[in-house]
Amino acid sequence: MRLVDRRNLTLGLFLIGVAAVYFGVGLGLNMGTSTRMGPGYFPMLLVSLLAFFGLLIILKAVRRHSEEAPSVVGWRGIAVVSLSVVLFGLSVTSLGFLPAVAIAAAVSSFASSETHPAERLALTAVLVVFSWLIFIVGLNLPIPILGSLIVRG
Amino acid sequence: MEIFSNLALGLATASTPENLLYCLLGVSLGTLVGVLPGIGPVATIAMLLPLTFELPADSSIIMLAGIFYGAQYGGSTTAILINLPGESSAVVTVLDGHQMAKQGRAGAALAVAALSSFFAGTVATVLISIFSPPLAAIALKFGSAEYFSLMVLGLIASVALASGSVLNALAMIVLGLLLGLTGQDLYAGTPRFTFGNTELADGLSFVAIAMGLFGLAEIMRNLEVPSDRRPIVKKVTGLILSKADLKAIFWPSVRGTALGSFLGILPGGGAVLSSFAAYSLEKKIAKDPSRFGHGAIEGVAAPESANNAGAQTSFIPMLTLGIPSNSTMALMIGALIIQGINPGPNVMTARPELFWGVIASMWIGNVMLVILNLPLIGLWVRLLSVPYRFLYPAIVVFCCIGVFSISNSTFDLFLTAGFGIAGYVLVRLKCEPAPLIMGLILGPMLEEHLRRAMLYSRGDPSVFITRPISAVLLLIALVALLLVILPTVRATREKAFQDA
Repeated sequence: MRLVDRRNLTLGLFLIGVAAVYFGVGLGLNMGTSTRMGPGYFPMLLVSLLAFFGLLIILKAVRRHSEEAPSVVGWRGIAVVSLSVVLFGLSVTSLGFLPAVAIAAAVSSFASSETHPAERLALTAVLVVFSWLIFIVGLNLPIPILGSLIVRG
Repeated sequence: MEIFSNLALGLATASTPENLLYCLLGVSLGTLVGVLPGIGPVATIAMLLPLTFELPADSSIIMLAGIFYGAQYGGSTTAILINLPGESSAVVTVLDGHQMAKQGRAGAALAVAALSSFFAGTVATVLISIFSPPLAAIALKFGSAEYFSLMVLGLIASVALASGSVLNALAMIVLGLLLGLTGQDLYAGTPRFTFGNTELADGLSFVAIAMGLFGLAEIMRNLEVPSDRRPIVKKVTGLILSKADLKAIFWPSVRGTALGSFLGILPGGGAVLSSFAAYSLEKKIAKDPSRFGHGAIEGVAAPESANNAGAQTSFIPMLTLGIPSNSTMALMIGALIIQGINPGPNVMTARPELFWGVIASMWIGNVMLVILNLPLIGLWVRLLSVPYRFLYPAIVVFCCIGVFSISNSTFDLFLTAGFGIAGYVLVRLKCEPAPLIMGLILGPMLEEHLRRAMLYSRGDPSVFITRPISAVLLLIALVALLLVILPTVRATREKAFQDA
């Protein structure tokens, strides 16, 4: 059983998938003529290019197999960091700037397995204070420091 | 001579107290970011882009530019002291710089790096002043067909000169172009690829994407392996160079500057390529090549001057033609767009104080860096002992604040998180994020010029080949692409990047 280069195979399939999605959406756009290009002309051009490249990459994957063993995927880092950004987004309007920063700082610190709870607390506190000083006091960002859920009126 | 009046205007703009302050801020941040591994100038510039909303255009670019070439200085500091290049352009400096440090000549190495960089920065400033006006004058004669071909050349050349799989990079460019088309169509106003989401009507926030792709993805990569490197650094003394040293570094610095200035202008060129090329050149022409890799002072002087020259001259295509030669320049173009300035040859005539102010500020920034770096080395090095697990939450927080401050949009933050994951996945799949960002920023412009060219030629696609300048540009792009695909060149390219 020939080993297929999984990396390139995944990439190629992903690209073709994206091309398919954009193709589907692009069908609803007016193509126009080559003189007066409609909104759909250039995108469809790009979609074909993308699918072409995806195909080439898949061909590359099938022809040459790679012996590389897949290395460790940092799942924890991926999940925790993106989660902290999402949580910031959800909390910054409802809870406000300061709580959002605290949440982002605290949650993201979980991505490293080496941070002690005491360090986490200190880090969060320091970041909240510094962010407040730099962005609210120093730069006057128009973000309410305590959001609508906490402060009424 | 017009140059002097232009530079005078530039110096006047760059020496106002505010701009001096922003320049200082930029180069200090740049040095800091260059010293710290795990965060680079691209991510930092992306993070500070939202803040440039509040600042006048010249101050913004002066500061962002300072970050870029300041990082070249910072990266060499860690390269020399702890064998760890803070920036990819400092990778070559590690070879001989760290060896010099081990031989007790860390001070000399650092001084050489600073001086060669300063020399290169000064020369580059002059070169930019001389070559920008004629270049912009030529570009003003460009029609849409020429612009289209130039952008295609820029995109393809940046792939050809970079490391990594060409096919993957091309795919990333196309992906970026497609993403860049999200939003309202230029002429018809039809919403495209918005999936019914009103937030997307203005397009995808490229700052959000840039922060995800470069900032968050880098953090996720660094967190893959739980390790806390605590570098052991010895005290640094002896920052004065002997006469013999000065003599030894003169010509390598000149050669490095020349090579860096040339390679920096090329799309895809810039600091990294220049430093690699300069090191290889010095080694090849050295009387005793075996010294290289064992503390040859030329091995520090040449790449350091090259990377600084390359970093500064890479501003030329951006400032005169509106074409980014690397992802940093792409972000700078983004900064100009945020300020309401249309990048292109008009910038020089429409906003001369911005144009010449930025150029002059680069020289001023170099002066600041020499003064900053040498005495403050101890401070920068102390920062290295901050464990990464304290650093990255700060980066995450700043990314969040930065993205949100642009349009107060929660959606943008989801975008950042999503592209953070995407960036991580793409790098694992051996795709560079830089071409994607370049495609993203150039997408709308590329389409506009394509449509306009076709409109004027009444639907005749041969206009791109019948107009001479456009034809030449496309030919160069084709040649570059073919050269890179040819097996022999491919092997040399990979070897060049493996050597260091």
